[in-house]
Amino acid sequence: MSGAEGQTATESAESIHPNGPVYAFVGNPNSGKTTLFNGLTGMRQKVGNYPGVTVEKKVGQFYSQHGRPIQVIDLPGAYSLVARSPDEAILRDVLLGRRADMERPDRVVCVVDASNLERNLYLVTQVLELGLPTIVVLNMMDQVKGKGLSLDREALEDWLRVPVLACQANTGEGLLALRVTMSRAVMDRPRSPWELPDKIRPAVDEIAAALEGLPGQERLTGRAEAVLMLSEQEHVRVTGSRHVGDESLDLTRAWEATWESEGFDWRGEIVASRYEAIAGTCAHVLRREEEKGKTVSDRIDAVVVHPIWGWFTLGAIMVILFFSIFTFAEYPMNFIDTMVAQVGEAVTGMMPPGDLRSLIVDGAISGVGGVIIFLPQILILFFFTGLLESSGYMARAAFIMDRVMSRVGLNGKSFIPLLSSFACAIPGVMATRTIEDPKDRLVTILVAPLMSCAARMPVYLLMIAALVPSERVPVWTKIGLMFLLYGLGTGAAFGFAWLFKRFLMRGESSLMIIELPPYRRPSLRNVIMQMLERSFLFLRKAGTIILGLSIILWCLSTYPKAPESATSAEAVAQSFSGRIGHVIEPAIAPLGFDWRIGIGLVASFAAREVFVSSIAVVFSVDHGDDENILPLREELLAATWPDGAPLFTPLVCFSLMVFYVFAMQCMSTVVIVKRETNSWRWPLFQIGYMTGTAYLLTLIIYQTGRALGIGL
Amino acid sequence: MSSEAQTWIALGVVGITIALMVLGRWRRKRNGRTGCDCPVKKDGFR
Repeated sequence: MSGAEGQTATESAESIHPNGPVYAFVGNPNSGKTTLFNGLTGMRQKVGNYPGVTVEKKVGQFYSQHGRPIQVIDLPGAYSLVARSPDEAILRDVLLGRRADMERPDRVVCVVDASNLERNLYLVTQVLELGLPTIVVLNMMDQVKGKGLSLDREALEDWLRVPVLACQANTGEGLLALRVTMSRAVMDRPRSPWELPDKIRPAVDEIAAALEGLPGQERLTGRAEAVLMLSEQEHVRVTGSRHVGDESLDLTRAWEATWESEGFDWRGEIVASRYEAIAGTCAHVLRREEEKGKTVSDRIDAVVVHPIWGWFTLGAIMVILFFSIFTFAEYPMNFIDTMVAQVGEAVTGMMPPGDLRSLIVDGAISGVGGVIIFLPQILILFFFTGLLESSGYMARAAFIMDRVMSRVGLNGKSFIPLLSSFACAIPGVMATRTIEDPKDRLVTILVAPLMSCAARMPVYLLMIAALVPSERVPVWTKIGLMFLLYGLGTGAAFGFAWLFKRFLMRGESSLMIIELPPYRRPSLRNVIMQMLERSFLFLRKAGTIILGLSIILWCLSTYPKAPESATSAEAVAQSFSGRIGHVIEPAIAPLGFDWRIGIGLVASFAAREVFVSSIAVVFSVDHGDDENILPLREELLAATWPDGAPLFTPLVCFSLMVFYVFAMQCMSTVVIVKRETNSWRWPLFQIGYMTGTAYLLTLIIYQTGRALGIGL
Repeated sequence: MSSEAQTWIALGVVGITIALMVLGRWRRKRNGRTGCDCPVKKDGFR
């Protein structure tokens, strides 16, 4: 884009949204964009999705120096506006004003990781071409100093001709200056600091002219969009975005065909000329103050990504994580347990016996209470993963795991989806969109749900609690068990990936290139906010889906009513769920499971953690109108087979855990896999192979254990 | 409250719950939600 052509103009007051200016936050991944967004907006945020696509939409608000509201949108991180994936397409379309669900933002805040200035300025120059008033924020200035460099902010401001502010998002330094700058009533529209190569200019002019005919298209935006269209390998479209128009697309293809026949690499030319301009500026703006040897990050990495010590570090971190989950959560869990029991007893005391009392106590309170008791452990899990993420360790974990992944033929890019699946398989499956090779992508989708997600945690924890009472067994046994279960899931994911790549979808695995960001002091505020956000979702699920399913399950376990003379066990056995349980009992009895566990298995097809609530409901109803309410663990320990033999023997508890490691018990994941693979074939295959493996393995474990007399 | 009244109220609660769940699912489908609210982050994980 020519600097001479984009003239400096001031935005008009009418162009700003009547409820105050709307700012879009853009930046490279790991540039501290979200930390800055959180710093400005605090808890005043709304998190949702863009309609039609599962890309996070985060909108916040704060007040200007003059008390005017300022809206802020946190857009997905990207290295360039040239979209290759749906979230990058969202970023592009929001900035170009192509989204049907929202208006174009008035202004942009471009967050730059100052310690990687050259790479970050690439996106900045693209954003400036859009013609929206822009503020550039130089984040992580401490790392610039750490590298022995100095950055001339004013020189950069002269080149970019927009406000450039220095900031330290994790400590909040520079936030006030940013707030003041964002409060300006009017701002200048930027000019592009980059000259478009002569050979490409006629094409850009022609395509821009075709785009300008479209409604709501500004001149400068049309030119910027034309450059983006010429830079794309293929035009990525997302639901909810307005189409660019066939005329401009046809023109783009025509110019591309001409250049291709001439052997002219226009895409390379655009990238190279842009980088040339940036490199020239960086040479001028960045100055080396002192020669630095190895940085602290380098020294830590010598151990953390070492072929042997790296694994020890990863193992140690996992031990600390599980240790904290088991030890620190004990008191708050006991507290919640007591509270749930007290609420149940209070309701029992206040109401006469009857179905409504049973619904409240045995259905709602037992079901929801059975799940929310795990909140402290979930909080700790998310706190730790947040710490690891924001400190920069996650990228190192990806790096050391890549060696194993390439051995089993998995793409290096599969790591992030698989890692995400430790939290939840759904973002994991969706993150596979970054894998270009369709076979690699499919294999990753197929094995992602084997990674132990957070929803399995309540099942594991309940079974571990029943299996190893804390009074008798040291915490290390529990940690060992958790390690085993997580290891089993991960090992199975790799094993199946190897099998699929070898027999189902042959192909070479590609190399992974990953950026190892320097270690950073994690922003505690940010980690805690993320943890609270996740916990809120967990609680909302407990209060909605789990509560609903618990009520329905209570109904199924209570009706049709047995005669007055029947015992509570007989009443449950002849209820709807009891009948369903008895129908499937012959199939699951060889695994050591009775019909009541069967009800839990069926109910948890909706979501794994429903197992805990449904078991809680079935065993509470089974317990009858007894005024003495026992904690769930004790209910389970007291449960027996009709012949009086204990039901939850250590062997059965272990078999159940193994079953949950493998079984595909998550409807949401099935739906997402269907959507991502565009057919029912793969999700059905996934249910078949995962649940089949779960059944077979559990059968082998239970029958072998029984034959050898272990854990009976 | 009589035992019979409790049964009718309990059945009413169950009916409302089923209706709300069906309605919620329909609304999620209409809004293009996935059935899980996990935010997607391509470059990190949650």
